[in-house]
Amino acid sequence: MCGIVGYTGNKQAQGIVLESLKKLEYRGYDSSGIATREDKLVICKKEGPIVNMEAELPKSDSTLAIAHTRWATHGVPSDANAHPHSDSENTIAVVHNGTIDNYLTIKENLEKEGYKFKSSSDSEVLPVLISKYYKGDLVQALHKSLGEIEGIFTIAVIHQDHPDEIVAVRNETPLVIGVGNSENYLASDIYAILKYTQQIIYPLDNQIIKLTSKSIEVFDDKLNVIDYETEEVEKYTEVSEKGGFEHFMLKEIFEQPKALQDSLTELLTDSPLEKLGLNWKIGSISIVACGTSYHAGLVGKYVIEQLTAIPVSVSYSSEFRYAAPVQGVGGLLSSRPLVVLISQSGETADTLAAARAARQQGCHTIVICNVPGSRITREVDGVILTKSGQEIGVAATKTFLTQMQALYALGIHLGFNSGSIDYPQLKLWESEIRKIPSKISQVLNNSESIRELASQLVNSKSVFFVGRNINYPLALEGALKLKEISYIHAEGYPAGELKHGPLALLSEETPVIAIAVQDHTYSKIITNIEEMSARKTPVITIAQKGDELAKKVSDFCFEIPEIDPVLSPFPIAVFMQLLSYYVAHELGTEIDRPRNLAKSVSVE
Amino acid sequence: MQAIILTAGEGARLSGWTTNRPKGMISLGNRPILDYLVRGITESGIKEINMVVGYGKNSVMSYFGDGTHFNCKINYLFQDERTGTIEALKIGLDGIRDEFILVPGDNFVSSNAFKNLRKFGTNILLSGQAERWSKWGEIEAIGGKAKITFENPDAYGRIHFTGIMKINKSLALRLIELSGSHLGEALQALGSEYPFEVVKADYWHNIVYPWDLISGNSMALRDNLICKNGKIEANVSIKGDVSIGKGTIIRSGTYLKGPLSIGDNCDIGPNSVIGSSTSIGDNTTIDAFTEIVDCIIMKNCDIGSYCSLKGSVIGEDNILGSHCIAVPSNQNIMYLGQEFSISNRGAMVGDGCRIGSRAVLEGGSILLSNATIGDGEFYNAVFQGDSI
Repeated sequence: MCGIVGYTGNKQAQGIVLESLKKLEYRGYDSSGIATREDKLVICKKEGPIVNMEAELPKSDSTLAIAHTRWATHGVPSDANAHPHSDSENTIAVVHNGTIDNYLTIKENLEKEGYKFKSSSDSEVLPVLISKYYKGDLVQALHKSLGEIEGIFTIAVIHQDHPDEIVAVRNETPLVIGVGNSENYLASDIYAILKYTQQIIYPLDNQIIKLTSKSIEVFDDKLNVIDYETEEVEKYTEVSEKGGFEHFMLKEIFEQPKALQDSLTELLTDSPLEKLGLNWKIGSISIVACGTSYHAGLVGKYVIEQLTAIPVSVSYSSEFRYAAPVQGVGGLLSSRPLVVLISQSGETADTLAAARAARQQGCHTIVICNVPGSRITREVDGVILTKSGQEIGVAATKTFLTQMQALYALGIHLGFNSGSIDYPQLKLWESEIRKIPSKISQVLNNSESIRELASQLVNSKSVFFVGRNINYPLALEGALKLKEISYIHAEGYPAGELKHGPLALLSEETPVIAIAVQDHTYSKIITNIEEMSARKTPVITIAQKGDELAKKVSDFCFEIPEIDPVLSPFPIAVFMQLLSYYVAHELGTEIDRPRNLAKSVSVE
Repeated sequence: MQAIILTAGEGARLSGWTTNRPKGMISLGNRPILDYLVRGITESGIKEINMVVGYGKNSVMSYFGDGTHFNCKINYLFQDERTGTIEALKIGLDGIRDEFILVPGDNFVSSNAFKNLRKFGTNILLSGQAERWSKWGEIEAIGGKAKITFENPDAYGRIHFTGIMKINKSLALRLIELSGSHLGEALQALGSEYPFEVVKADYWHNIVYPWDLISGNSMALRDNLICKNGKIEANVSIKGDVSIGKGTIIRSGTYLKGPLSIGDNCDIGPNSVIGSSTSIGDNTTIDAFTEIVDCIIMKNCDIGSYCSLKGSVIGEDNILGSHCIAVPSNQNIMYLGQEFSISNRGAMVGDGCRIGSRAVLEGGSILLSNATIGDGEFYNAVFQGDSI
């Protein structure tokens, strides 16, 4: 959440940071701002999306700039609370991502000393504090200030007396440095600067970085200059435009066959287990994730348990990290528990903390992540990298499918390794997984009929999603997608739980989306659908191709292509995404930027 | 200069392979036909393309995106009703400033043809040597005037208009004014009064019928982008230009002969023979002891062991059992109410078919999408599967 970029070099800086900032806008869109140095510092900031700020940007020849896009934590979205913040004399400008936990104490003390504040943001204490300590050296001033602040942060600072210098530091939140030729970059997300350079430095916590156009210096917490490593990352041509699609979300939904295909390579060619350090007998598995990734984890539970007979538990990261040690895992060291973390961005604060907690407790940790080189990939024992490419729509779509795919592949290999499935079965599974992209293409080609179904939901105040077994998580995901982009209240339930409460809420005005695939729970879900229909609830059923019974018992029926029920979550997920998209589209909501939400939740 | 690509049509004569995409998205040499066109256009220095999409538009838009990966800017314009090429041109003219190259999206043409078009002045028609009669008509340049005729249906080896031309906006508007829905006819009417120049392409193939795919494929493999990313086990022989995608495994004892393009994540062998003039799509598995020559095998297929496939097209998502045979022969077939003499072609199998073990598909036979052939059956040019 929140995005930061900075540039120092020999070109006009304002345009460069503006373009980079736009790539980060999905991280927050409450307000944005840019600080440049002309004769003195010039700060332009504005509430609302970046275009609001862009409209007011003055002409600039500065070759130094820092910029910020904000998702509000402390203080309402407003011009005053937008970043960059400055001290009262406007000599220092600061952008900050994260939260300063003790800002009230610092603010009180500074106010007693006579310093003035302009906003209600926690971040404003930073420029004031740094200017208090500034004696001609920005690095030292930042270092002294760090001694007083508590919290998580990425900070970048410029000063009007240093026309060529940006000083930055991170603690717990992301920061990458891009090395150029007579120019250097910094950003909170690698995608923002990949257009300009592939030479990347990943600073560690509390290292202070001093960037000038010609040099990069890294200081440790005692201000000794230390060596740093530059890594070369793969070139990535960013696709910033929607290429004919109306929203990024729709574009990303249609990119899913390709995302699955691209991610497949690493999963199937060789057994990934060796690379992940998993060649030992695993006693239990815990999957830990947030939001949509958590739902992918739940699907993973059903698959892995079926394929390996190893017990799997799934937890929310925010719960796992504060739970008693080895909750749900445990056991002897000879059969160490495996913890699988799932985070699209690799920066999710709770998941990161969960990874640390798991490692402390002696678990083997692996992560399923979409951003190479992200923080979590550096802290765990093994990494499965999904290759969805950058996801800009805030509602996760393609990353959900590639995460599920990674879990299926993991399950197959673990199953083969433990002897629960044999070689022909392994080959069969691999072949089935290879066909998923074409199966979901068939759902995508049916998008018009999903659009028609969506019109059934637009006037509803509340919608229920039900499923059983491996498709129970899909009911949860369907509800999440619908509520986050269309703002219609939606809940997902295991179909068997209906009688234990939610049935009381059903009526003619409360449609239900039921998932009925032909696995061992089929007859039960059909009964559930009939129970609901008996109460005059409109039921939209998702069934496999040619299922006449499902058609008969429900009001509307959507057919997914012929597929093994175990693999049905893939086409069903695509259906859920398109359904929510079209409902939201009809309601006219901001689909790519749902209110109050942002991507990469790097705060707790 | 700009370009307009017309790719809104369904391609009904290739319906077995176009259930999910327009004809231009069918892969030859493992890349969609449109991919060759877009690359050819951008290599000639044109950086802005208007793409008129309609049928299966999402597959085009997801593949090309905003054009960044192809080093150009692609604008999408929508022709949702099938109202002909003149209407498509009208839609495609949006944002066109002056001179542009107009490209119907079902042409397979040498990429330097676009460079040649750019070299000369305005009002140029691109011609090419035809495999057979084409809907764009025969073309002759008589006394500086292009003459387009549609009369001679027996036109093998003659010079035909490809449908690709360089014109300016005012001429395009003039074409639109003429009545009719087909560009070729409008041009015929105009050709006698306008001074068109005619430039010939090095090679060109108009992809209309299933049997065009095989010859188009071997043509496409001339532009084979050689890359070897897969894993190649010991004792694999590789001769000629062979491209192997990432994640693919070539198992021991396999013999690969170029020109050959194998996609990503395939699993081939052991002891199979593949090539030459063959494309294998992504995610396809080919089991032991199978021989595949002069074929297009599209994405996501499973081919059993001991199969022999020659001169054949196998669409996406096909499953073939073991000991399947499809080898070329000569045959006269009825296709879409017309009789065709098919020479030296194997079977042409649409998307999503299931072919049992020991099945024999006679040369020249066509299976439409989602057909099933049982174990040990003999299939001979009688259509099965989803109707046209």
